[in-house]
This record gives sequence, structure tokens and C-alpha cells, in this order.
Amino acid sequence: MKPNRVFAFAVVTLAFLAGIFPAAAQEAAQGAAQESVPATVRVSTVRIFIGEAKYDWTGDGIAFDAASVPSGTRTQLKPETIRSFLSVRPGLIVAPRDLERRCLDSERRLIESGYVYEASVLPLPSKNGAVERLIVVSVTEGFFGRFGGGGIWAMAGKAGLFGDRASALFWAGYNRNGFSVLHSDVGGTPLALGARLFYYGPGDYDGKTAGSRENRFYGALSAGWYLGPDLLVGIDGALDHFGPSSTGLFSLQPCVFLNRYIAWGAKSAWGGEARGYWYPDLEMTKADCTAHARAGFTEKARVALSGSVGYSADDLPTDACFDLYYAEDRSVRSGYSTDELIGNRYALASAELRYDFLSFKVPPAFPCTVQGFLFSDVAAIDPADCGADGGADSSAASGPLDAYGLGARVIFDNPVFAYFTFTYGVNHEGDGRFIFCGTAGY
Amino acid sequence: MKKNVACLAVFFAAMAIGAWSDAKSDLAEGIKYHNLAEVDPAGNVEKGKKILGRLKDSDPLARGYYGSILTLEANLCNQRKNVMKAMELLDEGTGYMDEAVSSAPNVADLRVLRMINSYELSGSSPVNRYAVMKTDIDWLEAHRKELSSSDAGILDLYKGLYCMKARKPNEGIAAFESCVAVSPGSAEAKEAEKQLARYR
Repeated sequence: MKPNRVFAFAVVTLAFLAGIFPAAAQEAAQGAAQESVPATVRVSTVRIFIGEAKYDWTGDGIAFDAASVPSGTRTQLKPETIRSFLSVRPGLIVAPRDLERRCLDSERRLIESGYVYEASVLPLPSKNGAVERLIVVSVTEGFFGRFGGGGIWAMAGKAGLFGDRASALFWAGYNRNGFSVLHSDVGGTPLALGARLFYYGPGDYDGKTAGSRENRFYGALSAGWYLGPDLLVGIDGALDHFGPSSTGLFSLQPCVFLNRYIAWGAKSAWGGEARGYWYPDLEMTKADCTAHARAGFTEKARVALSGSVGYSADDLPTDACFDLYYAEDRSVRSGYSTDELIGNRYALASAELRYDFLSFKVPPAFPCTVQGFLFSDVAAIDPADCGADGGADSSAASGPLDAYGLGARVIFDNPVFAYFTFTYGVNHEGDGRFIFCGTAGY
Repeated sequence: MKKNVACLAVFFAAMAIGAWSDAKSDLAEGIKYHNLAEVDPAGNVEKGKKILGRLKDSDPLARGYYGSILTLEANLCNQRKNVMKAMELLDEGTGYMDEAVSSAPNVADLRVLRMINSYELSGSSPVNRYAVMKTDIDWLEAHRKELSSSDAGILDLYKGLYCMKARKPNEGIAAFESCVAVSPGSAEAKEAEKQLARYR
């Protein structure tokens, strides 16, 4: 598969998932109809309050009201940072119901960002006319420290750097060391730039067991553009498995990320990610795509579904194969061997029934939720030619693979944002596996 | 003999009244520092804590104010980047306030205090107290006739703030307008006017 085909695959798949074509068409139709249909409203001003500091965002840009706060008072966050989370803007013309939905989505996005403790985004009638709307965005700045941990490593860092939507995170430990920096609104534009560098050692690290221990470095540079607050198109340049005695495996990865909130239920949402991989040294390509959805029946009970497919027309070496063994939130969580869960092509479906059965405060007062869940994974993988370098077992089973089990998550949300997931699952042959990872699930 | 007993009774009564009077005076002093700490926490928090801490086990109102002043101290710690200490104080402070309201559920001053405190904490910390705030709003609304005009104004102001948070802007604006009408010229009315300007 040629690189341009990989990129096209990624974009078309996500475009399908996002429904951006119908959405754009719908918006255009609404725009065309707005003059004659009084049921549409126009956003005249987005008024942003960071604490007491007031900023009016109009068609002319963002203006600070110096009289809103005592002289010399400054907020940590810039208004552009808050703006980057909004799906409303001055001049937007939409149906009132759509405007309300956009405001709700913006509010949820702000709260989930961890940049603020509290957020409200309210559409109100404007004094400029009956069809004009004033959007009042009120936020209180949050806690910008970030902490986490996993298998014998710890993470610490800071978000909101320079008042921007930017973060720097650092890892240290027995088997993972490195850093990640990401700026998601460079210069107040939708441009996102990032870099990360890791050394998966000196101890053993799951998923990095092949090859020489000194060559367990991973580095990547990322660039992306937000087409909307929940839709990012980008490209990563990644170098994996490099070190003193290896130049590693370089790949270019066009990618698309999407998230959509669902108004129904509690904290319901869906989204996806599509990614292409081009390995110029190997002259090989692959692409994969994941879609997921979460629906909350109550505040505590929800169902989560995920589906992934991956494809390569080439016989990939082990290091470049799809991995359904170690990949977090995209694996078959039962007792299959590594060889059985890596391949050139795969399809995976997964479901979790989640219940938050315990909420308490960890001293001094960090909110913590313990979530229990039942899960099932079903996958088909084509390992036939994978491991042309001899890394994988070409005789591994290629029939449907499954996992059934239960798990628990310890979730520290705002202001900590640390997650720990434990699962135990068995397959239909009775082979089980215990997994610990540092994510909140798909 | 009867005369001696009567004298003794008068003496003890005077002692009791004196002690009660001292306690009331101390409580007023503690509340004064609490209110000063809202504007300028440095120094006033410590003074208020000292006085209210002494009274907190015998008087629910003192207990409530003691809890509130701990949350003010938490804010101070947060500004000084001592987040762990701030979280600890928030937990302790809200605990005292809840205990105070449980032990004296019909004291309007405590309800008003906790309503204000719940709103401030929910907006400026990871602690979400909106459900508690709603309980106090409902209680105060049910006892509106017994409230002073100042407390009624404060109720309207915070009811408005709660409604805005609950995405009920029309009710919120009506509550702010009511605040201005009920308690004209007061600090709460000025704040309500500020809120009205925010949404217009």
C-alpha cells in the first residue's frame, strides 16, 4: 500500500465516522436557510469570564475589560486557551437548539480538560436584537499539576504552561523514563505541536521485550490541526526501537482523532481514531482505525463499546505488526500468547459493562472512584506471514480469539487525573491473564 | 438560711449570665474575624480560628463558622501553592459545617453561611457542593418569611448563582432582580447588579 493510500484510508474512514460531510452540508444548508427561517439565531458576542476577568470575543477579536478586575490582577489562563475548547464563535448562525447543544458540549469539554474547576457556557438573549445571542462562558482556573503512575514508573508534570493549552509531562522509574511536551493552540491558532522521547528501561517493559535492551528508545514529533474542538488531523514522525546499536524503525503516521458528546444519558460520548503508518526504510505500510462509544444509563452505570480494524498488505516485521497483546485499551484480555496476538491484519470488538460502586476521598481530599466492570473481547487476527524476521510464530492460531472477565478501575479525576486498571480474563479454552495498565479505558 | 441560698442562686445566675455573655461576645468576635478573613485572610484567619475553635464544641454556630474559616485558610494555602494542605482543610472545614447544620438544622444563619460557602467552594476547588447548596436554598426559601431583608437578599443572590449554574438563566436573572428589589443598596444587591450586567 502506497503512503498516499494510507493517508486517504485514514481520512476517509474518520470522515465517515465523524459524519463531517453530512455535518458540513447540514451547516451550509442552515446557513443558506437562516435568512428566511426565523428559528435560527446568531452569536454576536462570546463573553469569557476567567474568575472575574472579563473578555469579550467578537468578530474583531478578543478584548479585555480592564475594569473587570483590580489593576495588576492577572489570570493564569489566557482567554485563547478557553476559546480553544469552545464550539461556539461570534458570527455563528444556528438553530437555538443546536446552539444549546454546542454550549453544553463546550461546557463538558472545558470541565473534562482539567484546566478549570468549574465551567458554565450559557446562551442568553442579546440586547442587539431578538435573533442575536450572547454566550457567557464562566470558568474558574483549575489545578495544573498532573500526576500518574503505572508498572514501576511515575509521572508528574504541569498543564496550562504560559497560560496556554500546553503541557509538559515527565516519567521516571524502573522501566519507563522520558518526557512529553504538547502545545495544542500554538499562537492562539488550531495548530498543535508535540514531542516525546522515552527510554523503556533499564528494567523489562511489557511490549518492548524483543531486541536489545539498550535499543528501547522511542521518540516522536507530532503536528496537527484542529478542524473543530473535537476533531484533530495530524501527522506523527516516530522512531521506535532505537539506541546505541540500532538506528530504529522510522514511520510517518497520518492520523485523525475525533470525539463527540451524546446528549442522552450520563457522560455519554463516542469517538474514534484512524492512523496510517508508512515505514520508508521497509517500504511497507499499514493502517488502523478504532471507534468507541460510552453510554451512561445512570450516573453510575454505563456501557462502553469499542471496535477496531487494522490492515496491511505487507508482511510486517514483528516490531511493526499490530499488537493486540500489550496495547492499552485495544487488546484481547485473556491468556493467549504474544505470538497469537500480533499480526498483519485484525478486527477487534470489545464491550464493557461498568459500574461506579464506590466513591470516596483519599486523604487529604482527592476524589477517587472505584469502578467495577465486566468485559468481553472478540478478535480475528491474521498472523500468517507476520514475523518475516522470525519474531512471530507463523503457526499461531488465526481463528476467533476471545476474552471474558472482570476488572476494576481506580479513577482519580480532577485535579489529579491518574487512572489504574486491573483486569483478569479467560478465553474459551480457559487460559487466563491478569493485566494492569494506567488508563481509564476506551 | 433562705437568704443565703437566694444570694447563692443570684451569684450563680450572674456567673452563668456572665459566662453566656462572654461566650456570645467571643462568638461575635470570632465571626468578626471570620468576616474580615473573607476580605483579607492573612492574620485574621488565625485570630478567628483561635476564638471559634474554643467555642466550636459548645455552639453549633461557632462550629459552622469554624468550618467556614478553615475553608478560607484552604484558599490561602492554595494561593501559596500548598495544595495538599488546602485539600485537607477543605475536607475538615466542610465536615464541621455539615455537623453544625445537622446539630442545629433550624438556624437560618448556619444555612446562609453554608449556602455561601458551598457556592464558593464548588467554583474554586475540586469539591462539588452544589447539592448541599440546593438543600440550603430550599430550606431558606421555605422559611423566607422569617428571614431579615439582608438574608432574603443573600438568598436571592445565591439562588440566582445556583440557577445560572443549573442552566436556568431566566430563573437566575429573576432571582438577581429580586435581590436588588429586596435588599436595595446592600452589598448583595451590588453583587446581583454585577451579575445582571454579566449576562446582558
